Amino acid sequence: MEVDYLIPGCPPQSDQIAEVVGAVIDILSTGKPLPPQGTILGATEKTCCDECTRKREIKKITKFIRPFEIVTDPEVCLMEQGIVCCGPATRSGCSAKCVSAGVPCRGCYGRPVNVRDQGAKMVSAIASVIDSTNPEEIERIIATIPDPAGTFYRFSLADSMLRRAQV
Amino acid sequence: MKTIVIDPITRLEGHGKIHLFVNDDGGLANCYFQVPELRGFERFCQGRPVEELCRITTRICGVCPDAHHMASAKATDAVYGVTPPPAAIKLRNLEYNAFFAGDHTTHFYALAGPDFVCGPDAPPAERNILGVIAKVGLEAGKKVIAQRARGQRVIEIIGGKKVHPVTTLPGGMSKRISKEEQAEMIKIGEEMVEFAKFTIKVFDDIVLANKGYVDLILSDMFTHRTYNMGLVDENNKVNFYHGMVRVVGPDGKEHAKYQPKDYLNFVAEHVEPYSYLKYPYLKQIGWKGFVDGVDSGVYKASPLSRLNVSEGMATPLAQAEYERFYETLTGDRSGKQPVHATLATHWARIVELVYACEATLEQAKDDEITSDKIHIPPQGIVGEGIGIVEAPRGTLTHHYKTDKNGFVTEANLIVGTTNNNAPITMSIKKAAEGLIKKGVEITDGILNRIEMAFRAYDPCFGCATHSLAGEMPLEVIIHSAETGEILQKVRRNC
Repeated sequence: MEVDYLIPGCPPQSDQIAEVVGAVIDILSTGKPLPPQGTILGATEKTCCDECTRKREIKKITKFIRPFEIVTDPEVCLMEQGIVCCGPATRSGCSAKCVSAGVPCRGCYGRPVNVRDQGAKMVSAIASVIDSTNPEEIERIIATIPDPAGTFYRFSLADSMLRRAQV
Repeated sequence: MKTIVIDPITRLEGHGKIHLFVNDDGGLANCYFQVPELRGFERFCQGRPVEELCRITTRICGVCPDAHHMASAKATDAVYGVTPPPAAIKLRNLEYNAFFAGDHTTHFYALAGPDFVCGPDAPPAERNILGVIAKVGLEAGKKVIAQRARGQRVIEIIGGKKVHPVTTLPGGMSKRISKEEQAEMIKIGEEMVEFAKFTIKVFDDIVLANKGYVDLILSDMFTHRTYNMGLVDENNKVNFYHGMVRVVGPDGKEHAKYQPKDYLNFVAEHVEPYSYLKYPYLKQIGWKGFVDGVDSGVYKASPLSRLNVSEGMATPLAQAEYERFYETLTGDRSGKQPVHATLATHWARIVELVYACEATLEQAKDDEITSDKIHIPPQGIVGEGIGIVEAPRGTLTHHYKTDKNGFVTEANLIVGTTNNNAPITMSIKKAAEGLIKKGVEITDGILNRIEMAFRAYDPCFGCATHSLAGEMPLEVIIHSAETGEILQKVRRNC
């Protein structure tokens, strides 16, 4: 569906809404030109991972775990602790609020710039943390991902390439 | 026969529709209240890991997401058979009281306030939050907005995120609280208590000082003698997060008091073909139709109900306001005699607002909330769990069944407003009967008084499509039953 502008987030963060309202006031009072139709407002061009302050050590994993199964380390990347986090496949703009609060990103800001399909991007992100080259071992690790479709596409199934909803 | 349709009804969350059938002699023949919306959350919770439901069900509504978050957290704890450590339970309580303080503020000032502050006959363009601010003053308006922000800030500190919190886990919480955050919440609690005092005064000055309003509240038109339901703590005091469900009869006698896990022994659901929303009723009394009284299983679950099932409030200012409430409305300050006047729900909501503010301050001062011990990872799985909290609009039940890996196979949600579906229908009918009479012209003010009957329940029909009153279109068409000819149209911003 064509829309004039898009503010991502479920819900958009209040500071982002305030920023958009501020921009509208600025345009109305100074006569600045409107941004092009379809522009995404109230978000940035990065990913949630870029805003996240947790440490990443490019550590690989051999098993995925559920967010409640361990007491998480507040300093270390959740994915590296084995918890599926949609940060790599999610547009930034929320200041990485959920990951800062100790729970994984679930993708509510939608796909980042230049990513066509949020779930496909997650598959690629997951592939890069799996610590194996053995197909059977990889199969075993992947099987430990809880509810991949329901997690990777939590907020973007209707906008995905699945079932040719979009091409 | 004539038909009047009020669609959409305004200042509620979601979408509802009222049909009034009017006889040729001008009297009301019948009345239907419909919820023509189906969203299917229970279905798409199936297959999800159960610990995700506290983050999915928050999306049912942008107005009371915290209620779904907490009911889900309790149900999920039960699925894994785990009890969170004391600090985690205290944090959930604190967050939840702060949420109530914000939500009840919204309802009184933005949704219900316009009817009382501006008056039920004020033009729709004025009968909204901006009209309220015009009447009570800009400074007061700023106080209301600041109070909203306070509730949201506590949710953000403990819940990680404003609006939809994320930090409950089976077995506890995911986010620790620093000393600085605790200090900020204590300050917020102090400001909230001041705001509560201010609100008592606003209600006194504007509603209680106006005999017309008090008469309206107490009038038979807005009265239903039904059962009441709500959570109570171990001392039978009102509690929003924990305790047992207590049900009292129209006479004030206890009908039942049960643990959330036993709810199916006490509550069943009736279905009508014209609405997607079911009608819960008390199983042991039975469904006798849309009637009140001790023999009808219809019950209410609302702020008024919570006061009616309790024996008081756990904080001093709220307890004083509770006693004044019952003294004024029943002559007995103990609260043993239930109040059945629907419109008194607004006052009950203020009593609860006072409690929520005081409880926020009291619980923020508890140093245990900064403990590191906030999560105990569960070790086994039960596979079924029920969580009940009080949502601002009534008792909220989440009931999950899972497979052995904790993936949801069945989810049943009885939301606050659903409890009140039958009483809302009855209240609208009774108000319409009292107002629509032969020779009386059907005006905007009359239609609004009918809407007031359901607005007292603060209904939330599932998604926040609510808008400023007077901005949403409302059309009432009266047809002649014999010819189908349109006899009268009352339009609002169509």
